[in-house]
Amino acid sequence: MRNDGAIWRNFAIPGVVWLILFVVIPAYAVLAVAMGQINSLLQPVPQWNPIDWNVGFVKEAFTSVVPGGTYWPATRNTITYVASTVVLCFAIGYPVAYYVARHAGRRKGLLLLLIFLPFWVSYLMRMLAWIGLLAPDGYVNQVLGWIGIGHTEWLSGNPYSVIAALTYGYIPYFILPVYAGLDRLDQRLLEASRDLGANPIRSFLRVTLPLSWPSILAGSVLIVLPMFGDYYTNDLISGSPHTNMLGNSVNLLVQGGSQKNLGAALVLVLMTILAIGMLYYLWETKRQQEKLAA
Amino acid sequence: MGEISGKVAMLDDQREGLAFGLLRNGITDVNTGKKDQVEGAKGAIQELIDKVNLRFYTNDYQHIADGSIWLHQAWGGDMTAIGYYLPKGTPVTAVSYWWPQDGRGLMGNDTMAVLNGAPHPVLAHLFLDHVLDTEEAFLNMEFTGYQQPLTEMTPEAVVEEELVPENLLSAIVRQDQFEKGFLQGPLSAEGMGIWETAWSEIKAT
Repeated sequence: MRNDGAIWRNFAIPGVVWLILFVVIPAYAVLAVAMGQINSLLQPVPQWNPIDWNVGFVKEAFTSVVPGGTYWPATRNTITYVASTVVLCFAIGYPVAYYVARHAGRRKGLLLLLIFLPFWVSYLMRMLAWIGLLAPDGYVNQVLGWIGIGHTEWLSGNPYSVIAALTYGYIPYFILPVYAGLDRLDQRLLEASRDLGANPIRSFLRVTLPLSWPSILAGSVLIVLPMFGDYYTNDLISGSPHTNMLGNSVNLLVQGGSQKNLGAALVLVLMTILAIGMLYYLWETKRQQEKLAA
Repeated sequence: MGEISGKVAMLDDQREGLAFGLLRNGITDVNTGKKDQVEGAKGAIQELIDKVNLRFYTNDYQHIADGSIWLHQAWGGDMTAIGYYLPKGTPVTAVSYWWPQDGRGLMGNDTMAVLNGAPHPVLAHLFLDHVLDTEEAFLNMEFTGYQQPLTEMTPEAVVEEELVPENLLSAIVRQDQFEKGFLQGPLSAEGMGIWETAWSEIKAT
């Protein structure tokens, strides 16, 4: 007798193999280096056997990211920049996604194409284009000069430039899930709120916004995950240690030399911070699903 | 310091950066493995970071050429080729390169080696001969801006060949600089660890 369920379950095999090869094994390798030793030439020696793990580097990494620690400034910058970028992505991206999903009509396809057009250009090239725009004699300063605001040194280690560049780079990733969530919003719920006397603003605040919360969370997760490890945006736009993010520190430590263990341990710190965020996302998504089902 | 804030940069290279910090503190052993000396150099750079919002790059030629950095610790070879990167219409005289007049400056050079047991040592030596051939060295400098350590490659010779403008002659390495200057050499394993830790702390400032 055929077992249809087993056949369909086999479809998960490529995904599972992929995850094992490119997520589980690399993550274990990072763990082994972070928990490893250092040889007489100060080169890292991964420790694959958990019994022999050395927690010294991991301890050092965790204590270095708290206030007063070596990597606290980078940690503080990372959290501040990522949080600011998420807020900006929401403030800019949500109205765009709302308009495209609810009011664009026949132009929906074209607008979506325009939103995702930047994806055709590599992230690096887009950031390099920003350098031209924000240069001392670039278009941004020219426009600011015309309207009388004056000259600003955008590329001289300016944290606002880093946040603006991060927002520009990651906002399409935020818009897509939010658009998808808003697009499949049950129209009947909105009609019901209007029938019950809610004005458009109240209807938006009490129905649309809460129902789109899971997609906002999904969009936030999509941008927060890569942003926490981002280092080249800051390298290109700022170049100042004052705006360094944790990704910059990891990049420096793992590039070469004797501090790869500490670099790997900092990756574990990042993974822990992100895991907490992911757990909240999963918990909130489950809660929303249960609420909808009820 | 407001006007130059963010306009000063150091090479994003731990050896070059920390060696500058050592010299600033009067330590001329630029290969020191002493922790207190390296820590002192770290402090000097951190002080500079706070004073001028110091930035770190390895593409010094690009940042000097586009005007985003006014004062950059720079490799001489990068500066001799800066004319290629300057905006159209900007004369190469807009850039100058400072080197201590008494010749007591930081020296570093890339080296080549043929490994013991290399599979094709004869070919490797032929390649080294090619690189050190005077005519080839001038040609190479035309492309890279960097010079080979040849006695024939004097400042006068590279100017005559129109490889380097006269205002950037100080970027040309002379033989006597190897005697008077502070040459970067290998660090001990322990010293390397001290330098790397100090540099990563500077970059995390």
